[in-house]
Amino acid sequence: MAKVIMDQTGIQRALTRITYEIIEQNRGLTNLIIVGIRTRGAYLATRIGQRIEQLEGTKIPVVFLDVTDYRDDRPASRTKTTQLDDKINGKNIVLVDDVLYTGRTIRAALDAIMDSGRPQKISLAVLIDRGHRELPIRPDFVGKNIPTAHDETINVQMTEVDQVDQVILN
Amino acid sequence: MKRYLILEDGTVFPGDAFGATTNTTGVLTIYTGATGYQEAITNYAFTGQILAFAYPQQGATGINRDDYEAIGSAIKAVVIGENYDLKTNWHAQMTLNEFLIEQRIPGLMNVDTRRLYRHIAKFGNMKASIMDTHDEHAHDQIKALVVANNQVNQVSTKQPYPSPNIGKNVVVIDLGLKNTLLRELSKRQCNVTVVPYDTPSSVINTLAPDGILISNGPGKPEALAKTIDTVKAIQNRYPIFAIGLGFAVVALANKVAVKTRPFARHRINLAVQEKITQDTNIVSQNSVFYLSDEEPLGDLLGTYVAVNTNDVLGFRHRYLPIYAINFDPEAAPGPKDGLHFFDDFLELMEANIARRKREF
Repeated sequence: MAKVIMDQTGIQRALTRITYEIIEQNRGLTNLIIVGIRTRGAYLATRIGQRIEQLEGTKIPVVFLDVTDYRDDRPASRTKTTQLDDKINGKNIVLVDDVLYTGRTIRAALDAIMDSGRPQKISLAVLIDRGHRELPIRPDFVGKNIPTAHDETINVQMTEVDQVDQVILN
Repeated sequence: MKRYLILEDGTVFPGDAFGATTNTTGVLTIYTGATGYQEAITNYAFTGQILAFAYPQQGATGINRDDYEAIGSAIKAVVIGENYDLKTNWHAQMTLNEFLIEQRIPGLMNVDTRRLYRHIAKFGNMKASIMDTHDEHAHDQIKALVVANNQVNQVSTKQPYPSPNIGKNVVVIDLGLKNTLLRELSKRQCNVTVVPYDTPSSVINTLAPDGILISNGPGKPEALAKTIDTVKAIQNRYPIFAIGLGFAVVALANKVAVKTRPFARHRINLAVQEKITQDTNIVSQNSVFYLSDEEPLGDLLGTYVAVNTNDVLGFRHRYLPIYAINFDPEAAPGPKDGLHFFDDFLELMEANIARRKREF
């Protein structure tokens, strides 16, 4: 049974609040890079970048990361390509994803980042935290905490690919 | 009975008496909303002011038990155009005239309030009086009037009091709050303690709230040195949401200059734009302060601007969980676009609690 747990306004307001918290926690935005995990995390990262620009009038670099090669549930034979260059050295990275579940995607993203350089600090922003972590990973900025059962799925839809902004619990 | 509204610059507006028949003096304020006279008359943000309604007909729905924004009224007089003076509305208890007689507030009706509006819009705020005659003595009296700046002291609660519920612990610093503010917090299950405007930070630390709300109120923020000191002492410790006069107090506590509009127009149709999303909200406004977008805002980050004037009417602190707006999110009267600010306040408190749990 599908249930909408976050509508367009809810997503907008959560992103707005996350943006304010990112500004609050990163004194001065000069060192900031926003890294979005493809697919939905990339759109969220873009939107957060736009919000900071509207507010501050400065453009924050937003880059995207494809973590498929680094996943632990895929054959390890594939070659790992570094996607970020050494401009991340010494930077404050805000990693953005849609749903935080086991933490394995984030682990893969951290590996991908570490293969490219040595950032000063990495923090994590997610739209939904649904619990059930299998790795010692925690978010710094959360849109909404949704307690779930293992057999449920959370489906984040965004206008950029799904024609609608909403979060559905199945 | 003919009586007169006499302005500081000598202009006289004749009208007919209703309500109490005493003479009175105060600062003239214009309210432009077509609806909401009961809420405006009982709003402590108008303490010590002569309240003139620009919309030409008032009094059609009487006074009811549900729309009081305070137990009494602290205004000096009511100036209106045509007075319907009805109590045929389904929940009216009395007419506007009966209410004003009971509260001992003089009223003046059949005044050309549109002309009055244009006059004030052109020449700015001024003192005024309502008198039986408009001779030289009356003019001298109004010129000699010194406006007090202790309005907050008059209407802020003298003793702390609880407004209990089962949710977040919130301390409301009362600078002259509207009841609807407490209604909105109660709807969100906040366990509220309302404290006087001059409460020292030590008392607030004893209460150890999850968040602090600083209300709107009358008068000038510069007169509230004690409140400013309290804000300075607690702003590192608690999330803060400030409204209206509270907005000005938080700005001053962070050493940012507050400006005042020369024409005090209180209204229910202010258009403000949220910078971060470019969304526009229509809200009610009962205060006159703003920050200039041309001057540096220090540690503050402008978040809302007035669409028509570019005044900065909302800010957040750059490094602390503090935000303030200079309009009434609770409406009452007015459009309800701003109610989400209370939800934002709850989320601000929740995020702060979660962050404290993570940090060690």
